[in-house]
Amino acid sequence: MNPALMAYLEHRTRLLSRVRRVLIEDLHVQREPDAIDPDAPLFGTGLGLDSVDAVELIVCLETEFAFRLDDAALARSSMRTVNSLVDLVLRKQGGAYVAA
Amino acid sequence: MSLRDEVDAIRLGTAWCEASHVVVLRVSGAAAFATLDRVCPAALSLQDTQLRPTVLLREDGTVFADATVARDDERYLLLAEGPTAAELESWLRQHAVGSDLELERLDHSHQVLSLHGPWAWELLAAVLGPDVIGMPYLSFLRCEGGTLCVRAGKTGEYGYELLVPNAELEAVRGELLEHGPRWNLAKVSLEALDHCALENWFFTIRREGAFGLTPLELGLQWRLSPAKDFVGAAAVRARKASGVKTRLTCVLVEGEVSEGAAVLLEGKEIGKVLSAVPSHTLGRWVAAASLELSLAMPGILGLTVDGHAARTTSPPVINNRSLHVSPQRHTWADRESAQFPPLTLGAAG
Repeated sequence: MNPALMAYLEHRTRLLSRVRRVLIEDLHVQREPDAIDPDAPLFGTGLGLDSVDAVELIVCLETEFAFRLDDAALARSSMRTVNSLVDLVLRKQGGAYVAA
Repeated sequence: MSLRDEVDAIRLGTAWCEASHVVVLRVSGAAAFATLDRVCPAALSLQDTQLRPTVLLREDGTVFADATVARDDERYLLLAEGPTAAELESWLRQHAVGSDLELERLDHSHQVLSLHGPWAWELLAAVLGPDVIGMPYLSFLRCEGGTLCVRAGKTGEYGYELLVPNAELEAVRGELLEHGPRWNLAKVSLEALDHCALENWFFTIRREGAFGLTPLELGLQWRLSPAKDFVGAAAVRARKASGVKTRLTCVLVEGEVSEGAAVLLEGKEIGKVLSAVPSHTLGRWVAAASLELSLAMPGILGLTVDGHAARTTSPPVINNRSLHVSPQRHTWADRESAQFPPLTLGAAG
């Protein structure tokens, strides 16, 4: 496996762990980290978050990853799954969304 | 009507079909809750008219039904895709907890009509009344004549299943078709619904559900309650303890994909495509692939599937119009003047 891909996978895995931890510790999702499927819907049927949680989640992610989320459209499109939150963090960190 | 036109009707307008693929059982009696609680991996603490999506598992932990449980006063409705009504009834009786269990198959007394699209709520309000508009997702409404309107779509758009008593069928379907042309109502196929389900990463029992996988590999752990026992639980826990090796992952492919195709990274096979559809909305194929767990992650470029360039991505890959259509602010008649974002997301498009 090429080193860039390996580095991307390791970085993404770390971010996934941190996002899962935010969901468990700050949003009180009652699951073990590895029981939170990365593509599970955040709201309604999935992890059961609601519109109040959405605001809280943004604040917690801004704090955890030290960025500001002022773009409402980006926020909306990012608040769908755990993986889409990780994509958001990657984008805010200025890294490439995709790995070579 | 082509599949593409059917998908467009679901994505942009209104679409309907006779949903014989959905079987419905009414479950009642003193043993109703205990039996459903035993067979459903999801927690079933439901209020009246509330729904809960779940899956039904075999003893070996593999999924055999994509199911939704609805609480109907002191009774329950079990809506399922996968098994026939007879198979589902037999399976429930096999796992009954107590003898006072009444199962009524609604396939003899009711028909299921399915309605989808960003404007489905508006058409349905014209047919069933304005209460439809305020329905929360995963709830149902009791309508005149005994029809139940269930809001639980799997396309990413507004979606409703109408459980219509046979005596009311002609009237309800007639009204739907009479009002329908005002919303460009189109009749669509199950194939079109499954196409949209894959684009939106809803589990489909007829596609990825047909490969004998457990919720662990299918990414459906969120449909399991971690705190309860259920049919198949021991097998799922044993599989988890022994280490899950693959996970379903969304792959975008720049050409036609065959189901079963190998997913290659640097010439090495890392998984297989379980299902795939040509997404004209994205201009590429969307595939659900079972990939090695360490590589089951979005953002991996440089894959090859059936000789075409491919990459993993985060689903859903559609920026659904229904996310942006508000019954309080929009109408079908004024849709052209509304400013809706494109159907593609930046990362996936």
